[in-house]
Amino acid sequence: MHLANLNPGTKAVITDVTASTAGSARLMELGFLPGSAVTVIRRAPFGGPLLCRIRNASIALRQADAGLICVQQESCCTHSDACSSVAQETMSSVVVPVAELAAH
Amino acid sequence: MSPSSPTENSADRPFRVALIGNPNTGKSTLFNALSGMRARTGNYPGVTVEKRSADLTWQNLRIELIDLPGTYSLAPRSPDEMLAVHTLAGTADVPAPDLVICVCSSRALERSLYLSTQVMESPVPTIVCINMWDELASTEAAPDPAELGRLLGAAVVTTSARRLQGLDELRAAAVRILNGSAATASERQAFLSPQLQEAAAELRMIVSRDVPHAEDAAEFLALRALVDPEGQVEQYLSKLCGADFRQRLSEIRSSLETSGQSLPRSEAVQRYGWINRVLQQVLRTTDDSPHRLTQTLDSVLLHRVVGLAIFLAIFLLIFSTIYWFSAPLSDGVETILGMISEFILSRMAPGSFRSLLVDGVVAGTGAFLVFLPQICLLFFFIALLEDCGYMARAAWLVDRLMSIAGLSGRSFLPLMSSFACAVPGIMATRTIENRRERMVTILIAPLMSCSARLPVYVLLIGTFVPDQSLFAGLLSLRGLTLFLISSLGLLLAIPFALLLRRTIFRGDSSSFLLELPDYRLPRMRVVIQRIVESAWDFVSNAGTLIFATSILIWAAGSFPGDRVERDQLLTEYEQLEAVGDTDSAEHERIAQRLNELNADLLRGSLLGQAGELTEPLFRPLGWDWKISVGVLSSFPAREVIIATLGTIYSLGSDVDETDDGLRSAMQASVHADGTPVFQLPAVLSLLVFFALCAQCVSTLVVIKRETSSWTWPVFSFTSMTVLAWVAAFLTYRISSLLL
Repeated sequence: MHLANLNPGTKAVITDVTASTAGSARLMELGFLPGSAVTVIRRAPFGGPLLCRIRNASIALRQADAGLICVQQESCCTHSDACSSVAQETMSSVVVPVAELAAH
Repeated sequence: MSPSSPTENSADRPFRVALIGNPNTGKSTLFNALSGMRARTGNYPGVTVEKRSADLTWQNLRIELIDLPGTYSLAPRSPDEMLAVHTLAGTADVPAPDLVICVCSSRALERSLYLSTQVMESPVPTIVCINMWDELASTEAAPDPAELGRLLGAAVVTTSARRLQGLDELRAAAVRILNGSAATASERQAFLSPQLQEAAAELRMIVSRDVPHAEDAAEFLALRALVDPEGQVEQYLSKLCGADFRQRLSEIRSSLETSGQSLPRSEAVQRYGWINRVLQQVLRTTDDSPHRLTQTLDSVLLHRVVGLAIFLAIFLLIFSTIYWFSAPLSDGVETILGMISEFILSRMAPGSFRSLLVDGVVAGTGAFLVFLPQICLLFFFIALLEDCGYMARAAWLVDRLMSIAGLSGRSFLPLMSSFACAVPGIMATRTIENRRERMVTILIAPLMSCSARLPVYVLLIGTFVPDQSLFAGLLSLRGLTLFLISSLGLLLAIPFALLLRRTIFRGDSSSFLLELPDYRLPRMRVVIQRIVESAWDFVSNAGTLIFATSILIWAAGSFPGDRVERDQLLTEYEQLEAVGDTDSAEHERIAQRLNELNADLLRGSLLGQAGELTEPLFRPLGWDWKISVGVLSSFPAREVIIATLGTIYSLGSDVDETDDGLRSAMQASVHADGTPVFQLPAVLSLLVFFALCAQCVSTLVVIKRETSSWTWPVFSFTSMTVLAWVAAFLTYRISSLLL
């Protein structure tokens, strides 16, 4: 399911961001990353941009950009848990362990 | 002490301190608060980015404070965005700054720190400044700045720039680093995985070998090139480094890929991972909802019916204020200048010098001063809407509409204000962050039917379009013509914009990533500073050029020509006027002769000769030489054509668009073969030409100012003139067949 298809007010977790374009790099810089929680707040009239809540900020993005973001609704428990845990794994596997940081 | 040590170089140059940060972090407000009214604006060489800087003194240290454009990351995709990387790394011409202050928003700390961690990888000492602290300090979520600084490995300072809080602490922290009294920077944190760090360290060898000026920044540049495939940094280094750089880069990337670290994704994942863990240690709660006030206001202001209605009301109010209220203010400017002219006229004998003072200097000053009221009014509204947080929402509401023309919601306000006047409209494009969209908006703004076109429309339509009513009196033919001709520019602007977006300014058409900040009460100080800054910028940069052009046009309209007889007659005329003799036959005779002489002089001047020379060009549009001169002489400003027509038809230059003498002279005007010049097809072609041509020096000068290149005003003038000619030609031909 894509972010563009979410109903306003639904909470979801990002499972994937389609790579390749410069647009997807911009999305990731803003924090649209696998494992992040995202909520669609509302849609602009006439098929205009979406308004999302991510990482404590309200970000407007067009349907085309929202189509790059795959999400899993929070309500469908079992399946979404599986997705987000996969995402968590990919995140932690490539990152310096936190204990190492604290040691500094 | 080495020659590059900070204390020594302060003797010959100021310390350079750069401000960098995300949009909506209050970075510009902080810059203004630190610089007071001493900010200057200029341009960075080679890019269309405005450079704001200020010369300051902090505790006896000379400081040059530089405000870098707002950015979410150091992964530049255009030469303009590359500016931040160039600044931090230093170039062959400009060394890196001595300090960088990374401005973060307390409301979106996680995302602000993303850029901070990138900046901290540069060789420049960094202060992380958490702005809008007052909004966080009152909540439980406030982290301990010292603890955060320890984890980050950088000095952390908190400010509330809008309330002028924390500025002394920020300056003190900066001075401590600049004069070397701060404890030596704690060990650099590794924000990215060991593999990425090692790869950057390896590439660093090649970079420092081939790019001598980037000695200190070699590892920073290498890392930026590595993590951003096909980005600007990679292109920059590929040009400067040997072939082994590219080869090694692609080898490293593919080996990273096999270990599950694909770029650019891995940079974002690892950085946010690191930041999350640090914030978990310092933040007590994570509140992820917008302010309640923001939620409530948004449910109304972003509503698909109510929100749109309020949007329309706000923008109609802005537009009508600029359209109607700027006129009396501009009239006031003109009245004052008129008094100065009167004074000069009463004290000096007629002659070329007096003409230079009155028609050149005073008129040239007026030529740019009349724009000031509109600019101040527009920037008052822009500053108000941006500071309270509504501007981004307005852009969100109309984004779909503007995407028809390949633009985004940000272009709406500049284009709408261009219906009053393109000069402030083009200045307002500074609010558009995307360079391509901004350029396209600048280039189509002069097509919007501005208020200076109205007198020309009124004159031509009122004189030549029959006063008929259509559809059983519901509509008048004149009104309909006025409406159509006013919409013509807008209609043609859409395909023109699409064409530009598909050719010269191709790329990222779908990117409209915009942050909607929380609402807050606008601060008068911020608003006033914005108005003063844009007004001064216009006067000092564009005003001088407009003035110079006015003098040149005056000269072209005055020389060559023997003015002895005219000046003598003018002296006699003024003597008659002075004694109150305005009804005698003598007065009448002199006035008539003067008007004839003025018409001959204009015809003989450079401008008149150019008009006659170019007449064959305009003949296919159905015009005679008089119209050609009028059109040429209206290059400084469209409305000038009415005064010029008055002079050419020997009526004197002080006619207006409702002048009956001018109207009947135009109706009586005939070609050499006796057919009337102003038949409906020729009138329509002239109307269409005026709707589309770029006859406005001030607009062209402002385009030069905003794009910092003469290419774009030349492009704009050429393309609009060609467009106007072709459209006028088609209008003439088609209407000649039909009417």
